[in-house]
Amino acid sequence: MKAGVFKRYWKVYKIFFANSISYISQFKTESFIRIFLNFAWVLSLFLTIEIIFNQTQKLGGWQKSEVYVLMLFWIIADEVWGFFVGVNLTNLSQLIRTGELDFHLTKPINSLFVISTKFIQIRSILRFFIEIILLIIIVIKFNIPITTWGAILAALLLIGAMIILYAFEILVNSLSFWLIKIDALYDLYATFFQFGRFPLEVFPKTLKIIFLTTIPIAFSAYVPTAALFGKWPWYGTLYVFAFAALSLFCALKFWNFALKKYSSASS
Amino acid sequence: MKKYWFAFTATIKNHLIYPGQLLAWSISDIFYFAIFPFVWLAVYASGDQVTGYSRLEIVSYYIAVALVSAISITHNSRAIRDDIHQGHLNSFLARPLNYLLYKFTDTLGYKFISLFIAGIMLLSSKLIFSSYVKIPFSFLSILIFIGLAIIAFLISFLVHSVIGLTAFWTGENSGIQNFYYLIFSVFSGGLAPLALFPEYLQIASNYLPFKYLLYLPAEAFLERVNSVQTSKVFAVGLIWIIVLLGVAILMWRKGIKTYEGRGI
Repeated sequence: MKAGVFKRYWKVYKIFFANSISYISQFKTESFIRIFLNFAWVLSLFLTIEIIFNQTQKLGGWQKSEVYVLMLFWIIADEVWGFFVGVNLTNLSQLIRTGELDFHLTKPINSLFVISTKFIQIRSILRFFIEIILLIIIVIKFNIPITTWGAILAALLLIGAMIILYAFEILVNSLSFWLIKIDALYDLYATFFQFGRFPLEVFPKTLKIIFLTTIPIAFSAYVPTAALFGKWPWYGTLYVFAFAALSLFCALKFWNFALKKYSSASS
Repeated sequence: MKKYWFAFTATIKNHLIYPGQLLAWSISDIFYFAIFPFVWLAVYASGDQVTGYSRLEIVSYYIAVALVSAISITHNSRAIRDDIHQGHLNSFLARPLNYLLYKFTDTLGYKFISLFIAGIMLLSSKLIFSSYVKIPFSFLSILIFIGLAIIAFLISFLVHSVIGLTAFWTGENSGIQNFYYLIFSVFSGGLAPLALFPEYLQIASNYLPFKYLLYLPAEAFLERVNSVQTSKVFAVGLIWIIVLLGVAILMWRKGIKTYEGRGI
């Protein structure tokens, strides 16, 4: 990508960022309430761990401290996702229904970029830092040994996971070009993501395969956490990056194909 | 009553226009609870026991929770908020009907369809995972379960109505809604049976109506609510319904006086 093109996209992204800040500043009280509720929700997830580990010492071979880290990785991954893409692509079906997609297609910039980044969830940044502090507290409280290499690998795998999630988000939402209304399908897809907060070892083999391929819920939390604790094999790391590249390639091809099927509702 | 019957049948017809959407929503509701049986089965697989619950009971508990969630748990607060916030209430006020009663029959229509989906789900789980699913056999247990499922539906509808009606004063009330969902997720028994919770949370749950929403009907499904407890459980449930109904009516009467009727 030429430097000029990069500059142009960066400039547009900065405008989206400023707009999002402006939007959230209109709802300061609501934002603080939501951040408080998010914190309480994290505590309710911790309660689940406590209830489970009140009955057992290990869950699918994972210790309590490891499950805490897994749960926090799942939440942090969600914040990273919320910040970079969030609900933007989910709005695609509405853009198609109302014909608003025309506005994006006629701009001299990649339409997928605009649709994916138009609204940035600023609250995710604040929550991200709160959750990182919680992660540090958990690491100190349970005296969890973390190596620099493990942390770097986990961060890299999280980036791989974000690419995979983005690719699948494009694939699912592109179906809107044919199905028009896919809210329910998307809700179903989102429900499956709840499975990602527990170790993959608790699920049957068939589900494990599904969660590492067709419904890729294991990548955002399980894989990076498993890598952090040395439970993820080296060939698994290669698989993640190969799968990320392949799924993004397929998603972009499918997006371009779907875009050709678009018949505007407004013009 | 004819106009409310019309609301009931119209809701059913509306939802049946998009059967795929309805099915996907129902599956989403049910699948949320499908995680936990795997988690508890992993606990049993490691040789541990779940206090007070057999392997069969703990899996059946979540199947019962999913069933009750599908047939009794409502989400009407958003629709009420939107009606008030966006001025849709105007059209209801111009008609000769009781708004809350209309919403009730509308919600009942949706739950009527969910009842069929939940029934199919229960039968398929029993056929596919027969060794993991316990179904109540005695007539009395079935009656207690149905009674508690009806109480759960009424409490859920009334709590959501109260939340929705706060829009008269707050306009946007998603903060209150999210707070409710948080409290609901902890105290309803959707995460785990309340008997497995720390003692202080179990005590707190006794002073709230939320255990009527999932935990008590699910326990009745497992035939764990005995005849001595039953009368007390029903009596307290009915008191909650009366209290919530009173609050909802009072809020409606006060709120309608502050309503500005956006869009008139």
